[in-house]
Amino acid sequence: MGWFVGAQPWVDWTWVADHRELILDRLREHVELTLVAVVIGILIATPLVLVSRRWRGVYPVVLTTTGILYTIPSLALFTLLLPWTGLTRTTALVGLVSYTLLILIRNAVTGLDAVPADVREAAQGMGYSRGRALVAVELPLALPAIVAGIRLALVTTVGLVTVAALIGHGGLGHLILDGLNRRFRTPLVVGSVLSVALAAMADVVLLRVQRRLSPWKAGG
Amino acid sequence: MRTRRLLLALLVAVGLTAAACSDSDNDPSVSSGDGDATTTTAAGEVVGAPISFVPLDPGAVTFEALENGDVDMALLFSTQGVIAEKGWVVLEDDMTLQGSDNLIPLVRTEVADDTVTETLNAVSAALDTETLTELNRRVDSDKEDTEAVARDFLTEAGLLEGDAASGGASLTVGSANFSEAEIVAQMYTLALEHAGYAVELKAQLGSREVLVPALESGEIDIEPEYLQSLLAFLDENTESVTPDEGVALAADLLPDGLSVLEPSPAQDQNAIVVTAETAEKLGLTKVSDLKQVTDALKMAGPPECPERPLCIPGYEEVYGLQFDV
Amino acid sequence: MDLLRDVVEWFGDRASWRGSDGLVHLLAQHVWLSAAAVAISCAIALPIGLGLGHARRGEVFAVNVANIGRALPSFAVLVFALQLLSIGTGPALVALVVLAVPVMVTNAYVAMAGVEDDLREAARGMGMSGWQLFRRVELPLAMPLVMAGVRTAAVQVVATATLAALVGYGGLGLLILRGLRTRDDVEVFAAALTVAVLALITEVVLAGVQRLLTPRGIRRITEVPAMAPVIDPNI
Repeated sequence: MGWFVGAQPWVDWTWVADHRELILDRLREHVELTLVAVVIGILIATPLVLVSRRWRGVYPVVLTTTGILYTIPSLALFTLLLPWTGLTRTTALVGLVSYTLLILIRNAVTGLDAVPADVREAAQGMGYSRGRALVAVELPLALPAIVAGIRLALVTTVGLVTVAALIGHGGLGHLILDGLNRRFRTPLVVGSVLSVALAAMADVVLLRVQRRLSPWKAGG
Repeated sequence: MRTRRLLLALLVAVGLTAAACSDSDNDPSVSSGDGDATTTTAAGEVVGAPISFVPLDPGAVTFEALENGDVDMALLFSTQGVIAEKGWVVLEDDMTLQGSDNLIPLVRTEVADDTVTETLNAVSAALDTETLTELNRRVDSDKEDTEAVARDFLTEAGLLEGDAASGGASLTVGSANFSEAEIVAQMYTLALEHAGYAVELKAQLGSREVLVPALESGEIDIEPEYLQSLLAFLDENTESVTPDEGVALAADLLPDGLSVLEPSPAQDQNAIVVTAETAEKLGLTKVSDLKQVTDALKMAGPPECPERPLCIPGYEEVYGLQFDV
Repeated sequence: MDLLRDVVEWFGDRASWRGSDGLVHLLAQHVWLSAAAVAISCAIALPIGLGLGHARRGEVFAVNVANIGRALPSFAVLVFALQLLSIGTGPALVALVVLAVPVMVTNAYVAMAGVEDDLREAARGMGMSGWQLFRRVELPLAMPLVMAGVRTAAVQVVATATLAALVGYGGLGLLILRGLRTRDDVEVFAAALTVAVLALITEVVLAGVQRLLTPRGIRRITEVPAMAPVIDPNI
């Protein structure tokens, strides 16, 4: 059990040194896919959030649609996109972006809704237009929740990218997949450790941003 | 209070029942049918219990499953080096289900100019089954890179001599999702690059069902194929053919725009493999011996096996074996 | 759309349901795996989360463990577990438990820690022992949030159990994997639809269980704090 090809070390450092470039390439691909997906997610989510706040009837629809996209297993979603966009990066991105939408929209709307009614009324009383009130008053107060959403989106996207290796664009997931196919520990360990580190880093950095934006809260 | 307790009890009862009714020993691959019973085929023969199929990607996971005894037999490829290494037994294909599965380049006719054709044919000619087996072993067991192994082979075969040319067109080589396909695709890539082409390699794309459409759509230009299996994919009623017959048949069956080049002497076909212990215990030397086995067996194979004419459906038809799929 | 029509036909075809790669068998496998994973995770996570919350200790750990858990891609955990265990149930269970436990721990802790101090003091004042405090005051109050964690985790587990097919366990993921390899979109769509429906059923059933386990007197709509977000995608 586990000793099939002779005792393998968990990390063969020679292999790591020899494949430095491959590892860095995959790391770069992973970071790129994650950032691009979340940025596109934010770009799509923003108008949806604004529309949801303006016309409350829209929110349930938006929530349900993105919610459904959510329960579709990632592997299935990627696979179903193949006929449309082929084994390209676009397929991976479309799938990844879909999963960020629910997180981003839900957190933003919840954050904006949490702005106390008196604050909103005060802004209105001071003659702020709807738009100005949003930008100058509500947004800053909702920022911690919005950032929390971005944080969550980033961390989960890092994980989803690994699965995208099965459709050819999975960054560090390819190292993990190689480890699976060849029962080869080194790329598995390297790929896994790096993805966890990437996710952890994204989490910590954004957590700090989140805390800075809400100094009055003890945490989160 | 009482309703709550009642409901909890009900939930527990349902849970226990579900657990009891689930597959024995939490084993996902044992069918819930009879274990040791024999069944009678339409031809009136008495055969053993249906063989359970465990889908696993070809490669080290399957090797390990066989090694550990998680499965009794595995559908492997005849050139996988681990077979000889572990002293495993390949069950002889006594009713010749598998034809000549010679390695052969499948290309988009449009890109197959003289240089491309010559280069790829040279690679094919230099390969044989033994070499292929050794290269597989280096990648799957020794964990070497497919590119390094391909390069070594080409260098030794003298196919990378002289300066590399340049200025050729752009090409894309694709490969299926197993080591050998990637190794051969690497060979094509390196050889074509040496001949001056700008080549992109898209490896591990999936199985034939992904690759052939990718060729048709132009997403890839070249991929290594296996003659008999390709023919079976194009027309499931194809019979076993010799390489020459196969090439002629392929010209008929292939969609417009695709063509095969020359077949290589190297062959790789599906093979049912068991460990030496199992072969001895059950008295297996050839595939038809399986019919006499009454124990319920488990076989590992690629997920697409139930749909491949040269895989489960073939074994069912030609050998009269029964799988519980 | 052609695809939808084909999918409906697929469901209507009896062959799709029978055999060891038929819907009945795979669905049963999938449900069994998910249920086992959730049960094991509860058995691990709830004592830890509830215990720490009751004792008001280990806040940093308990509050952050969900974050840490989220950073572990299930695919990686799955393959890692395969290094140590045989193909099939083992690695799948490990990966799903690792997925579910962190969320449950954090939610359980936050739920318990959220019981106001005056309430606890009042209960103590009435002569309740620690255990009585836990059972009659804290647990009922914490139940909604604890169950929210279980629900979230369960839905994630159901969706992520599809990855188990990669290590030789069957389940609905097998149809997806095979459909990916052989470009059979009908199979993939049908399987994905089934998983989504299963996830929905899981959510509804557990919401029902939550309602039943919450004493009528304190049934209320619970606000889930932003730090323990309700939904994670199926990785």
